[in-house]
Amino acid sequence: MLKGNKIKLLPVVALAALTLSSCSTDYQRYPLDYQDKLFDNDSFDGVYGNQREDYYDGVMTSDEVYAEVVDQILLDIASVAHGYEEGKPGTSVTSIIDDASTSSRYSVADGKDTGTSNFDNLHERASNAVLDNASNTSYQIDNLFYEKKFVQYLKQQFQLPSDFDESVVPETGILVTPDMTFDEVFQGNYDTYMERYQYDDLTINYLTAEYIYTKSFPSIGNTNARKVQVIGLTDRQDDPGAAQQLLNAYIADYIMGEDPDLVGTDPDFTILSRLWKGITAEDINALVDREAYRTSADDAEPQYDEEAYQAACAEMRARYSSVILTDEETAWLRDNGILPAEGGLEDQGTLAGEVAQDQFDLERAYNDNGSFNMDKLDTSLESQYTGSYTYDYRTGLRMAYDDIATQDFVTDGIHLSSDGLSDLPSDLKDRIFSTDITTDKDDIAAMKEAGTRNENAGIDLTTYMADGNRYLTIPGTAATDQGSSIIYYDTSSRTYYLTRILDVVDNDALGGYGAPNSDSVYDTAEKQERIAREVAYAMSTTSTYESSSTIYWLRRTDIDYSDSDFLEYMKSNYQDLFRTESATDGDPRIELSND
Amino acid sequence: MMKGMKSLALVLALSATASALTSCSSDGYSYPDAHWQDGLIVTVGGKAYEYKEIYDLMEGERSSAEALYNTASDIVAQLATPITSSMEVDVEGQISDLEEEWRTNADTNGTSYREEMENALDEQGVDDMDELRAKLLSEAQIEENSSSFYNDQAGTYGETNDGLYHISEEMTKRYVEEERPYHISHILVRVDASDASSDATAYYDGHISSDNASKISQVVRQLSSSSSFGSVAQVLSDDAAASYGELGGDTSSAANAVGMSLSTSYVNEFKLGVYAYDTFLNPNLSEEAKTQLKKDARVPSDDVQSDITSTSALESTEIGQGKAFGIPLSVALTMGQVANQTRADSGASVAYTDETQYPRNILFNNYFNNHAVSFIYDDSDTYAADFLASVQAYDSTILTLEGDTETSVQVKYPDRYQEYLRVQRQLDNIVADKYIEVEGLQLVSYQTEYSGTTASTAIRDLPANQKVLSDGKGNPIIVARAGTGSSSGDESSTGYQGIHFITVNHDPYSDMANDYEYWRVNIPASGENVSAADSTDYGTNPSYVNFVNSDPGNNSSYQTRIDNIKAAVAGFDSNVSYAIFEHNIETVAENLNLPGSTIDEWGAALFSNATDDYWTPIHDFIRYNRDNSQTSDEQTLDEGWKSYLNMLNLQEDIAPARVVPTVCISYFQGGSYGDNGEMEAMCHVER
Repeated sequence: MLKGNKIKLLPVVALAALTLSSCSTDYQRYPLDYQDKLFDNDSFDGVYGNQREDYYDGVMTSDEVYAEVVDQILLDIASVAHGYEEGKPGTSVTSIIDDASTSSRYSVADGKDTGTSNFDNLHERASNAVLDNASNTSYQIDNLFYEKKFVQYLKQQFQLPSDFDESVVPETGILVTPDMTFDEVFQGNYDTYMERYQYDDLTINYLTAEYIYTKSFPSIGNTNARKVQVIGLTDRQDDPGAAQQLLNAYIADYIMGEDPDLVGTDPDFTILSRLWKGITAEDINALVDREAYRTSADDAEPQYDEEAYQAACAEMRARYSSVILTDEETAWLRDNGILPAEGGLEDQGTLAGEVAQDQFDLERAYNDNGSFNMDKLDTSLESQYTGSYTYDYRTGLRMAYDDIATQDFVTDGIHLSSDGLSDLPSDLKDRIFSTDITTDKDDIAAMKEAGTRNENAGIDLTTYMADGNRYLTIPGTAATDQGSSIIYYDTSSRTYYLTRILDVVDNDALGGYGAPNSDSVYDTAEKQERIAREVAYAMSTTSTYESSSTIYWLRRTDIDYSDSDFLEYMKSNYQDLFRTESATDGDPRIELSND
Repeated sequence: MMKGMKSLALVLALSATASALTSCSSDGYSYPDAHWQDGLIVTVGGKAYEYKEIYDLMEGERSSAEALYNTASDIVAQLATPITSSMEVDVEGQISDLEEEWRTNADTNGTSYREEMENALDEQGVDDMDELRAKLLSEAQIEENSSSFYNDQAGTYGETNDGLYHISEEMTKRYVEEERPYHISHILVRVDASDASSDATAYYDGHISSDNASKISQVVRQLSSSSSFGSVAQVLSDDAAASYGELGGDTSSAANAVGMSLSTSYVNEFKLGVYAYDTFLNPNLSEEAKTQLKKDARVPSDDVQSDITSTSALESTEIGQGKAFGIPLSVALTMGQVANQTRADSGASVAYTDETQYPRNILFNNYFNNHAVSFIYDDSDTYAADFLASVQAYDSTILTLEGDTETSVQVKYPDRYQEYLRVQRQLDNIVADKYIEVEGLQLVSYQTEYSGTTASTAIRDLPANQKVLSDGKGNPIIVARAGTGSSSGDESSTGYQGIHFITVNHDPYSDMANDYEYWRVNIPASGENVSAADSTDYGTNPSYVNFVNSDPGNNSSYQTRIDNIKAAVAGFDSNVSYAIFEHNIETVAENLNLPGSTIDEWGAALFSNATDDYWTPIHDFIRYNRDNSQTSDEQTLDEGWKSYLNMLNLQEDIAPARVVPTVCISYFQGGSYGDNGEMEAMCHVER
């Protein structure tokens, strides 16, 4: 009887036991006040839907809640992870080295930048992210960036902080060129916005970088990363060779040192970019139709409102103020035969020169001895500058100058061989990531001496020039012919490239974790750590490393799950968190509680 | 006792087994248990991560504001809409259906009724049947609240509706103020004026067919007769003929329901041309009205702050200087005479010429191929002299129109003389009253000055005080050429390419304060004791509805027009849900006798208290969405103006210097351009 009873009892008991440990549908996955009224108004008694539970359902989905939990945990870990020892919290991972403000411009190998004492990586990186919005056409009108449209968007997204001072946001737009800084583009104070909406993601990137640096150091060298500055100047189709003429003159004075006042003054190709754009004040003044300011009908002695005309010219020049050539730059171009000695719209060997020449050609037909001459009109040119006859040609000329002004010819920063520099010609890219670029400090020291090479250096694809920079050479040229040997020409795109190699990162160059290679340019712990961390940050946004990092840091904590759905979420997204063993399990446990 | 302990031991053992089963270890992975604690998600490194902490992060975010608004909206909708017995019956019916469904599903799925019920309740987010019932009732209230908003609301806002206005008088006023609807008619002559050589030539060398030319001439001739605008449209218009040229009638779109409003997507030359006429040329609008129009329609001016357009771009056009292009009536009539002419008067082909030199195309390009605002003006008084001068420009030996010598057109150029007679006869037959003076209107045209064999064409003023073609009701007929391509096959074609003859039946700016009355929805009646609002007399009490006569024996035409207004008023507000929400707040405030007099005050009273300000994010959510819609609408108008002004400036820049002068008509008709090349060059003849 008893056995029978036991048998009958067993399934019920087993079912109950299983139910106790696995039933999740009855749990209310909300804050504890979910059953409270949302709006505390007695008049709403009896009305359906006035519970906080309904409000919470509308705010976030369960997956959004869980993703946010993971982020909050990682942020808490990030605040103490660097140098964490057993029972002794470390420091934040975001301020170990200054790797944001100058990393894309300066070479660790050459020791040109060892960081500043007062740095804020998060602010710098967040500012750059916000600056990217200036090129978003949603905030542009007629190529001009309107900060107020960006502000309006933030407001609509409820992301504009209540303390934001809108009165400083300009009503007018500006033409944003690649060399402009954050403070030149934005007038409002976005610190609070960046802290709320940018810092968290950046901090998690730094946490991933910390993981890569401390736990996956060999992977840094494996990336075969390069820190470079590459400028590409696409030649004019109507004036082939114009780019090379400019480059030759530039190299002679700015790189090889034929002009001691100019050598080394262009650390990031800003000047070369502006020279090739070649926008002169005269070009911009020509956009203003002087005839629109005519005050007399007398063709023999026409009269003009000069003051209004000059004001219009000044207003037009203000649009291009960040790129218009300085008087010195204009003079340099004239001295080198790139701009005509006497001025004028014709025969300028720059990008703007093509637009100016087109204007000259168009106006020859419009004003042939005071009248229009159809025979001299190039209709395809006119169609080009009128948008296929939807606006007048002066508008088209202005749009062409806008395009030139906003072009960015430079690719810089740290790039990994796996997916970096994909916009460059493949041969050039292969050359940049070639292993035939030495990191031996003695070899490099010898290369820096003008005209000599270390006999033991073997093959090296670079050369140091008088401006102090290391340039990639093109294949098969003699080292002594260094002038033209650093210009890489891609025939398919008609583009000339100059490539500066700032840093080369491989396993040999880095050495081991905490054990720099004394023969390498990164022969000190400081240099090794700096370049390794810079590359690690570049790696941090790769999904594989993001996931591995999250798993690593969470494994260093003790986790007690309350919500089984959250447990399932973690199983689904971070399964390796549940491995029974891991090589890093001996690392100090991280405590987050303040208790 | 032992048995009980054994039983207990067995249960415990089974529980342990069960727990062990759930924290299984396989393939190198080990999964822990979850130990549920209310409000807690997980504890990591000793720190608790609770739901409250995570949801608090969303406070102040858009998703939070939207959730607050949605909840608040549902609440006031319920408070404003009592539960009715029919709602209860419907809900019970729904529940019965659900119960039947659960029974069926249990049989089908091999489950139990209870299981199916609990799953369904879970999906609905409710705990039990009572809660399900309450939820379904609330949904019924909300739906009724939304649909009843569109019913005519007697006594809304303290005013008596009397069935005059759809939804409410207030709503109609809002519609009129936000959309400024024009009751407008047009006659469209679709014109195939493409030219394969370049887009530029479309502005000065368009080629139209002989049918096009004939039709243009016919339209102008009929409009100059005693025929009404509507009757001409019915017979000749290539669009809206069935509605006698009236635009609107598309009840699927509020913007296209009654005519032209700020939201209507008409081609720029039509829509912005009407706004430009009203702003710069209409003497019957007050300065206050014009200022309001500039703001509403975003006319580039000092009254409108736009980043897209520039005031100077408008001021550099003829319309921006208060001028319109003038088309002589005689030219329109002559188009009909020369529509088919492709050879010289002698019948011989004219060497080295193509359609560019055809008389109809020269006339088209000089007068009708104009994207700005134009008017047909009566040049009867000067036609004879102008005609003679045009022949003299070709042949300086001609001295008179009539005569019996070779110095007269009649003798030397008999075909031309016949053309003159026919046109003159048509001029004599026009109804002079159809041509009216428009105070302050200055017309311009392409005028060519000849110096030997060279010509210089520019836009110049015509003599002042010209009388322009009207619809017979005092409304000048605006003429505008839309598009540059053909009516089909052109990638820029919209189907509305051609010549538009536009008349404004009712201008929303003529009497802004009372404009809403034009859009009342009562069925007009006739009789002795009919009130002004109900009158069928459009002349004394105009309305969109009584603009037409009703069908004999029924009011179907009136009803159709009423439906058009209803579609416009009900649908113009893309954010109508917010209007409904605010209406509900007002209703609830009234029912609860809340202090205050504004939505803001009532909203704060309902949704905020000493500790929680929920009204501000709700209010901001609505405001930002409305602002976004307004910004989007403004941007659409601004982009349209920019495109329109770019085109006008381009046209005025390139067309005058390149259009074939009208003197070339005589040369073509004469069959030769002379022995030297100058006339050929002037007339664009290429050997």
